[in-house]
Amino acid sequence: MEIIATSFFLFSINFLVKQESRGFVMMNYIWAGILLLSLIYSAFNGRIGAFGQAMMNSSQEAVNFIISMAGIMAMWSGLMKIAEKTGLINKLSKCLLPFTGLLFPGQRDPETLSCIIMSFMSNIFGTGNSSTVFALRTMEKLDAQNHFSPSASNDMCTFAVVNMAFAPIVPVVTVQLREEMGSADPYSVVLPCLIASAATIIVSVICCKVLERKF
Amino acid sequence: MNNFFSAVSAGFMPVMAAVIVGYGLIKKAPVYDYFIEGAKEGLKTAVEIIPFMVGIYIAVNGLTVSGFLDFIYIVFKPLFSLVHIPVELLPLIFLRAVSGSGSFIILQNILEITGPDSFAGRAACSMSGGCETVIYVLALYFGVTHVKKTRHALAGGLIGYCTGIAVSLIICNIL
Repeated sequence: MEIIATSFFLFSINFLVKQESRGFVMMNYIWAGILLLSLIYSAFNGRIGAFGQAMMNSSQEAVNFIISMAGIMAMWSGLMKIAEKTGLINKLSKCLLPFTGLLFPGQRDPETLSCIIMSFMSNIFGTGNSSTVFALRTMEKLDAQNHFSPSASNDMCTFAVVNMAFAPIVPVVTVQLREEMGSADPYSVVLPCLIASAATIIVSVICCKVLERKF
Repeated sequence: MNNFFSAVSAGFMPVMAAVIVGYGLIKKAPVYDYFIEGAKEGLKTAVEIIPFMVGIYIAVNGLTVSGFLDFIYIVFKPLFSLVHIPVELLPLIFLRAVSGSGSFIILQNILEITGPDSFAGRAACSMSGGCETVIYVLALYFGVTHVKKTRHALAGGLIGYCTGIAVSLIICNIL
């Protein structure tokens, strides 16, 4: 069974790589690949029933998640609208231009810059859902700048990759869990987390800047 | 120190809101009207991303339930014992890239087995704090755009992710 699965796995990777070289790789293949792979594997494993159950449950979970997030989304969009129309965002993005100019050279639109900054900030302050809201806003704005092209712009890739690497100053949930488990010093992981995240950010930025010339 | 951190975290949102609304009042802007206008747009975005979320959730949860990850562990186990990485960390290293809630359950298991102050326990915490759900984030972010070709985003994200894992292991070994 393992051999069959391995060869299938290698085959799909090979397939993906080939498509990539033709410039064809898409969300379509990744999504279908993951789905079919899990379907076939669960059939071999005798977990096909659980798989069907998971499909239904997860669709419901997805909608529940959005509903639970919709309120936060509306609130932040509302507040940001005030900041945008009163010119507060313009001021903020001008102040942070030296920093954002480094990551996103050529990006001058104050609204987009403010979304980027807010996304980073809410990530740092550990409000993950707010960060997602701003990140999606940013991607929409970058998409419009990119003229809805099917190929991602440099700024899109840099933003997605860097935003992923940002970690909260205090990983609240992790610290809480350590406390519950009876750790002698629950906060001892804060520094390692920060160092790991900083290293990730630096490497990601360099990667993006190097790779964007090759792809 | 602890109190300071949690105060900063808790204070961020209220302070931001106060600054924005206060600035609007100073400028004599119709802040409430603006708020409603923005909130409408926010809700629209929320509805628009529901289909993408459904797609991602199905794929990710399907992968977790199918037991395919168990198979990956079997393949990678020898490699891990070769470079002296605790084998308990294996599931976390793979699942952290895919699912946030799934990896949290695994983190809980690891801490129960190895204890929160052991090398494996601390490295696990550092990983789940310092790394992100790369695959999920990419699918979601690019889902709201018209992009079909994500170019170097996946490669960049995965390289960054591996860096985070490696640095977590090294740092927890030193500290």
